[in-house]
Amino acid sequence: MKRSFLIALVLILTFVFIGCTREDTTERIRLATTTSTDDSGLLEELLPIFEKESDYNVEVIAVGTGQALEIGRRGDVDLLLVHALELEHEFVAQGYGTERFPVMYNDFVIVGPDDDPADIKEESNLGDSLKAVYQAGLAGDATFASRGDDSGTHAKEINLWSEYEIDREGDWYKSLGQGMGDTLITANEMQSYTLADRGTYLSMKDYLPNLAILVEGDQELFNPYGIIPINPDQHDVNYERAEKLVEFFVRSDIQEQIGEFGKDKFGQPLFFPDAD
Amino acid sequence: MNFLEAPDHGEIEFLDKVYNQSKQPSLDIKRKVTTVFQRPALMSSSVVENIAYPLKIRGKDVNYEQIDQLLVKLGLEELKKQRADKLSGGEAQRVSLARALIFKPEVLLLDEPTSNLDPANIKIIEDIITDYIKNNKTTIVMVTHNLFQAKRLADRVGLLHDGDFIEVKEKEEFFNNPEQELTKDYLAGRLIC
Amino acid sequence: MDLLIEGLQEAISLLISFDPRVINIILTSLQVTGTALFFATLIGIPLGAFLGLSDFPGKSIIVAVLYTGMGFPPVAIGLLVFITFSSAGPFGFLNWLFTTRAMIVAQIIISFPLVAGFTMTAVSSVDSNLLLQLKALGATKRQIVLAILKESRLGVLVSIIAGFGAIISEVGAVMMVGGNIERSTRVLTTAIVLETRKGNFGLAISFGIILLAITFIVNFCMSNLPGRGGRRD
Repeated sequence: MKRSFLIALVLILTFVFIGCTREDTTERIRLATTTSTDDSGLLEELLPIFEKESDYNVEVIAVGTGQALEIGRRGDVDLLLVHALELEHEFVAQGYGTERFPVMYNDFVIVGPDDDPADIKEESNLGDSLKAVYQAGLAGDATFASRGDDSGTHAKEINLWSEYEIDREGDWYKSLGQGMGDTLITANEMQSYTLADRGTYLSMKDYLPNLAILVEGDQELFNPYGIIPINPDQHDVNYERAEKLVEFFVRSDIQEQIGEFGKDKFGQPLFFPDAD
Repeated sequence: MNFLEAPDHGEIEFLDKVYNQSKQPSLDIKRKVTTVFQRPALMSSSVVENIAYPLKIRGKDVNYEQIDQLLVKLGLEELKKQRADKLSGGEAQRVSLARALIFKPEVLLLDEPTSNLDPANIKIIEDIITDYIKNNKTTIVMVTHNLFQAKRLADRVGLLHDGDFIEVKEKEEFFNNPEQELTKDYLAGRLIC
Repeated sequence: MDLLIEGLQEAISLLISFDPRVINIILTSLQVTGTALFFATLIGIPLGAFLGLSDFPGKSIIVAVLYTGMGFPPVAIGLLVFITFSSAGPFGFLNWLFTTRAMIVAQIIISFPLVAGFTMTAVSSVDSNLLLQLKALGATKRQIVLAILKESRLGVLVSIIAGFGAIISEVGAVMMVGGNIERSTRVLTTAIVLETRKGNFGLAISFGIILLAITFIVNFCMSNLPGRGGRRD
């Protein structure tokens, strides 16, 4: 009894000790981004290059867009990499961020059941496609899975419905409150339509046998990403390091690499460079 | 009287000191008095560990040979490694008594220790008590409903009724020349209430 | 079914290959939960023993609060800890947010009511005659509490196991306050969420299997601690 207690105690104290020594905050840059950005694998490819060049350690906190902006507003990170254009401008205008730098964009696609029960593929434009989903939904032939999590993608989706003056109330409209991956999985199981970013859809395609891209390429579906350093006047953040990371993202060789990302795996790029 | 609770009223004189509601005995004093209750309450450790417990909490060295000798007297030597909470009632009460005797208290209160036991176990318990007081100067106060037990064991006997002593005397006097009517009734086998 | 087999195979090959990222995730899980459990036990057992053995006015309120704490949603605790350690919050100056320390704090808050609650139940179910008897034998309050805890050690062990189970498998709070940062605050549960989200179901399941294995091993070891008693009769 005593011996095993002793062993357990030593183990625990070791853990505590490790816990006390591990937190090295000196060389850290904290970047809040959206789950879809992180899940794409782009940062995993780019950040090690930066870390090697600069000796800084970038900690990526991947959360929903709303949460990322809130974390930024509270000054708990040094910069944001998000894709919610209007909210980003508002964030900067309110003084939480210093400036928004365009980095890249990707695009949204509307995916749905292979057999396309609402025939949205046949429509000539995005608005008519959405209306077709709505009508098939009312008729009970189709459902739409919404992320319903206040993410950038969710905000985009709501904008589209209201832009085309489509009423979202009804049994056909399922608000899930889930991330992109979970929403796609649910849509795959429920044979629903949904709005997804191309990157997440392509990376998960193998697990989504029932879904296909039905609508793509409309100007409206472009999804710009911006990077925003948190305003050092507002919070105690590492502005200088944040600036270094911004410079890195907009650098021409990195921009080129962003444009190449995903080509080898999916046959098409996931992101398009957008820096000036 | 066993120092487990502060008295509501009255005083206790113990070792030349007086204790009452406001003046409580120190831990050292309290530790000179112990009680064995009607229902034995033992810990789930072994019989030996149970008996060693009062010595351990007093920070004293445990003489396991002494415990073994005591266990032989109690007829428990076979059970000494057993879990104490799995013993029969009689065995448990013997352990409970041994646990109180091991640290040689000044005062030992026995609260109907044999009332749930069969005659064979009662005999063992009584023998231990008689044997113990031969060699130790412990004051033993025993509560019993059994007149014959009182006759067998006591030096002095008192009749307690409704929380008051009716009569306290040397054993011979108490049984042969009771003064109080209540005592007479009780000794005659009438129910008193 | 294929996915499960694939996950199992992947779990085994991940463990055999000693992939440093996987080892890091496992170690972080154990470190965070181990430390949190240590402190939760340190707070919970004395608190549970105190509540189980004493009576005072207002006790029922404290007990009700404790029981509420046992069922409080971890995510809500996560949010609370987040706000507390956020740089705009009262403890922001510590810079603990998005570190394992904030995760440990959240896990302590999640698990100590469980440890205290189960300890309280275990302790208060010990025969009250024993309390009186130990006091009569000259035990001090501290010695009585220790003896009673020893008597109810099985229940106390269950309290620790319950606390452990609640936090090793918890995801909402550690995700929120830890941020699921790679090589820093990523633990098994948040890794499962991440890999599921990415569509790496096989990897997600293999993390799940590793988590299950760790939980099983720890519980097995705890419930077979020597001197636990109770199997000799």
